[in-house]
Amino acid sequence: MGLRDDAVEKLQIFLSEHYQSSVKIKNFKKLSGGAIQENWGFQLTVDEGPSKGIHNLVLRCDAPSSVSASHSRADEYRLLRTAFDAGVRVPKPYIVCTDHQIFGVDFFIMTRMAGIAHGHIMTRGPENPELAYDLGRQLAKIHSLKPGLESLDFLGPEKGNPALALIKLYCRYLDETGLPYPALEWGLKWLENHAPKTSDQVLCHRDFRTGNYMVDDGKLTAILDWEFSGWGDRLEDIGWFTARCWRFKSPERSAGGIADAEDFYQGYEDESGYQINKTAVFYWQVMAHVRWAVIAVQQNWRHVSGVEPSLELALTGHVVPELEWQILTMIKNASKGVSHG
Amino acid sequence: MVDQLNGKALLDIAMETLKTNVVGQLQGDAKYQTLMVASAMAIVQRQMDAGDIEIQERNDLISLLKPDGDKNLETLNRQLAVKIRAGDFVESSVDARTMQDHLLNVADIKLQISNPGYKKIP
Repeated sequence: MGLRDDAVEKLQIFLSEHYQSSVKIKNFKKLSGGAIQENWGFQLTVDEGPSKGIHNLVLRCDAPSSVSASHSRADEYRLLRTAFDAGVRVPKPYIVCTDHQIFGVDFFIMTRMAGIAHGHIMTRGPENPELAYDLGRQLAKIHSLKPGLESLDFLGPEKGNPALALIKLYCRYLDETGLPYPALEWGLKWLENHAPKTSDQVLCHRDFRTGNYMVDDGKLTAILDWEFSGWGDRLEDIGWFTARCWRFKSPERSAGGIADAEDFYQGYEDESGYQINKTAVFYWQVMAHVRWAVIAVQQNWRHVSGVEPSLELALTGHVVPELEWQILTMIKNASKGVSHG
Repeated sequence: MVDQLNGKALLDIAMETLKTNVVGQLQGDAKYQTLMVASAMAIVQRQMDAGDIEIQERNDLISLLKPDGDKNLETLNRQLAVKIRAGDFVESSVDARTMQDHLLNVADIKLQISNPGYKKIP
């Protein structure tokens, strides 16, 4: 989003009314990352009242190319608020605004957390089993949130069978491009043939992976990007986190490129008391690669169709062959009785 | 005869110049954008080296599907995609294994262009 000249001024007036105090915004700058959403960092000085002081904050709003699957900023705020109240390590959410007169789009404001989230940097350093363990515990806390929560009623009811619901959705996304992808169809057919039953559905983050959490001095500071969350099978998040496609520079480290998956599983099991069926995780790792491939196809389509010409989107299309190869290899190995991601 | 207007040679030296003289001078977003340009150029370079990879794919699809009509590559892939979704290939059957090997072969060839280093790591 191009920033209008008066956007910061209007935001300052809005925050002044919110805090019932004179306020001053400094260093309003767009932060890196975020093809779907934009994040703007700034420093807010509040002169009076209970919030008096200097606050480092982030304003999160839609980017020009948001995707239909993602929640509105108002709903993402509700998710973040619910997670924060449940003790999940997330940035503290402060204010949500759906009045487009202020910033042109919906936005919410949260604490700016210390650290970096860049997957390529995070997976280049030494192994960090403590971080993987902590991430396991945090994911277990997210999964302690179950259907029926009033604050998350906008998510709607649980799906009958989460795996089959996702397969149907991904088939629709492929159809919308109008192009044939037989390798992905075979992946989807395999997923359909092997779909597990899910007895208890939980809040799935749906983008819980390296690159979407912040780490400062080796320690987890915040879990980010709640725009795809919904009810589903807990193993969906576990498969997504441990899938090879999200290990960046260290594909041999099965916990998101930072450590061994056992460290992550241990944290999850210690927090939740739930025993992870590691064989069942394999299914959701295949699902993870199929999902990422479908998203990459969609992103590439946005470029080639002329909707949004972009080198970054075009290059994302070139991730599809490695995902197809991975899916087909995993399926082939599974038929031989070898199942690891 | 040496072709003085050889496109591949031009791309090679443009890539080399970008890597050697430009990327090191940049920082932040400009560096990221330039690395993306270099990555795109490397893909094109490998595409040129690989030649027409679609001939084999099309021939394999014809042998797999035995189509009566249109033998255009996109049409053939569409037919295969429709058959897979309809459940015409029963897992572990000979037909399914042949089809799966074909898909893996195509993915492998495309992978050599998009990201040839992918299979070297476990």
